[in-house]
Amino acid sequence: MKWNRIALMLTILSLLVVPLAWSQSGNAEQQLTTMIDQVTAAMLKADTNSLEKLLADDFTAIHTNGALFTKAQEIENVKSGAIKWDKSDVQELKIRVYGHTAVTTMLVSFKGTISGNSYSGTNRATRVWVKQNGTWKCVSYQVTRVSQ
Amino acid sequence: MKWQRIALMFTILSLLVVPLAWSQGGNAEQQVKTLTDQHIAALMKADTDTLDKLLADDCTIIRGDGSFSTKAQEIGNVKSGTLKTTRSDLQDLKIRIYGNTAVVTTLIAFKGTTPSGTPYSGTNRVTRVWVKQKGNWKLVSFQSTRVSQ
Repeated sequence: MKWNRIALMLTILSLLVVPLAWSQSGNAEQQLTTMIDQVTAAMLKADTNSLEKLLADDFTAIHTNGALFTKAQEIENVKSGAIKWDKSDVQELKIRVYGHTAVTTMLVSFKGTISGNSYSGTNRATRVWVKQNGTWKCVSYQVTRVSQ
Repeated sequence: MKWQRIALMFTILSLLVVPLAWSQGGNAEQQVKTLTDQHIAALMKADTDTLDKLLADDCTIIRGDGSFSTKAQEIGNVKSGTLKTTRSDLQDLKIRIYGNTAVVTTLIAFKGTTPSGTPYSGTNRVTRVWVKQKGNWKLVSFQSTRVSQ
């Protein structure tokens, strides 16, 4: 009788937990595609309120000129216009999910200004995402120009 | 009596599990630092056996020229000698651990060639992402960006 009750509790628990875990991993790629669209839109609109939410507190950015910025510096540069995105068309998006971490690589057709220098061309970018308190946050962004 | 036995079991279990979990988290930075050194050494020695062990099967590599390589392509370029690393001095290294993932950003003084064999020397910023798979950290992402002078 005692073991029956324990078995019943475990069954109920797995019925509750398994579909939840499954739905979260199953949706991860879709969630991350949305996050990339949101961060791209925020950069294009210089929407620093959205960036504040999308970027983790310890976020780092490495831009095409090799400069490294913290979250505060990145947001300040977007606010001041030192970083300005005019076009960012994502091509070849690849998403890899490792539990609560995801690595997203993309080829981007870019036009904009970095540290006052305007530039247009093709870039390869990687964003690393970590799920924190149920929400994906971008912890690392790096972009490299593709040599012509 | 029954509850005492259960409590005792939990105590023994936590004595076994907690230090193990703690030691893995505590050593993660050191482990990842060692692996970063090993990766650089393997590139300089063109040691493709070590590269094969360090890189995850789905590893992606973006070099300073913006070229993209899979694990097989990277190892092929090292083996054939088109991709050479003759100098790679670590000047700055920052490690962030998120559970089973580590993000390592470095500043390096590089001398060697691009994957297509073009000589290049300069300062680069490199990010490596390591993921712990079956108890071993594997490199899943490498990206290098040239620092404008």
